[in-house]
Amino acid sequence: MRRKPSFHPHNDHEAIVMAPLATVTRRDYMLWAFLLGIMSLGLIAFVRQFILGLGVTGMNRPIYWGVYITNFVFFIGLAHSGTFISAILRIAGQEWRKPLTRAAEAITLFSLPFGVASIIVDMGRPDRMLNIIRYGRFQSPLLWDFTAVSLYLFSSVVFFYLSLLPDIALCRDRLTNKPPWQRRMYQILALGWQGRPQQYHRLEKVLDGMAIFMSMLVVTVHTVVSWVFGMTIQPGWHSALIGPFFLIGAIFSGTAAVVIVLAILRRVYNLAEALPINLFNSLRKLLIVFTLGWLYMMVAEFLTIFYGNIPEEMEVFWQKFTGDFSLIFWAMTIFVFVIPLYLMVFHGKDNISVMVTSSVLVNIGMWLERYVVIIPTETRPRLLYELVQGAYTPTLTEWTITLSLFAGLILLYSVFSRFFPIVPLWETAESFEPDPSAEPDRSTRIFGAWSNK
Amino acid sequence: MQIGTIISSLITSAGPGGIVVLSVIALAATVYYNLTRWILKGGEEKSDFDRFN
Repeated sequence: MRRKPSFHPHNDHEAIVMAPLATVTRRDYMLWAFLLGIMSLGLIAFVRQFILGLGVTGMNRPIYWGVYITNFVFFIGLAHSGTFISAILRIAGQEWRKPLTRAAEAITLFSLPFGVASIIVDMGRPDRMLNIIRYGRFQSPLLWDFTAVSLYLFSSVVFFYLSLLPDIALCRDRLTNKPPWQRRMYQILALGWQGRPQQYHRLEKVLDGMAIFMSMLVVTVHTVVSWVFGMTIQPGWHSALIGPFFLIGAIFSGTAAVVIVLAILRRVYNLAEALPINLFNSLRKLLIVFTLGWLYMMVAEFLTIFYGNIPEEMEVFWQKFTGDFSLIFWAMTIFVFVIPLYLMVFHGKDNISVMVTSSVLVNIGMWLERYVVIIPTETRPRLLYELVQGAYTPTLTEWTITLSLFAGLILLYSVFSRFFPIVPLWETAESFEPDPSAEPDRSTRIFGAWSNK
Repeated sequence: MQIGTIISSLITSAGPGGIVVLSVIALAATVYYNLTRWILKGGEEKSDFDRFN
């Protein structure tokens, strides 16, 4: 049976947004091959680590968590960008967010698997991963972590897919000159979407509902991630502030990542009209607020520790401020707070390059922040801090695997943006009315059936 | 057996946590599957929900 033609709302930017989907260029293939090469190196390093054991990493007693766990927290943090932009701003009724929702959600979707991968890489025996289900116990924060991250990943996939559905149907209907496998892919993924107004109506309703749920999940997930640290009684971790501190850092680095991705997409795919500069100005204001929020959390954290003056806590405190980790700590402070705040406040308006520079610094700084939260505590563990003073230097294996995880994220993102519209066309459509100049055709009168008047 | 002992063993035993994880994921899968079906059926025919509203 022949399928009825679908209705697609009118969007002035359709041609611009669909243009990157027209051809996969030689440059794309080269980039993908390069990224796959890096990922292969990571795989080799991981296989070597699996065979020889975690001894090939810099981890030792008492430092059991190193760069891999830093990556885990960082990737989970990046993943908060999509939910923040799409879900939280959706609930707040911020219409300006619409053109950048998909770019942000894609960061969420493609970061989370690498967050999970970081955990698997960190395990000396990844083959025992399913033991958390077989022998899971409620006492273990790792079980809450597993539950929250799995549910967040699953819900993010669904949220992303549902909001992509009308645009997949658009690809199915417009990109008819593509190879059969690609057309088949669009056809299957579109799930027979017809663009009936009632479908749009229901889709909006479901996305609104899911936005509330996702907003709760985003808080839960990063709080639970932080509790993996906070539920121990280790100095620097055992604090009620660690949950909100991790959360604000996550949303901060996620939003900064959105700025970087948007700027790249805008330039590489010539999307200046679809991604106007006022989006960057709006994100700038958010980032300024987050920078100050992050500073507040940092002051609150360290000031209470300093006044408490508990010996175990002070060991870690001075490690960060003047000890082995002071270089990383102060670099982090300058990258996350000092330079970005100055640049964004005084030079950021209508200046994408400045915003991108600030955002790159923020993300480097936030990675360092994760590192400086995790490692110093382990070098000076509670009770043993006078007896055991550990040291940790990441090895080439750890750096190679880390690089491969980031390469994987970029690879997934760049492949996705060549096959699907990176700006949501249906959400940014100017008109949901059928084109009045179009030839009146029975098959296109889908709205008549919808209104049921 | 006292209720406190049951609750205590539920929390401290290895196993029940895994069942909860699987239940949460399965429940989410069911809800999302039905929501997707409901969206796609929009405008196709009147659902029971629509008839009552």
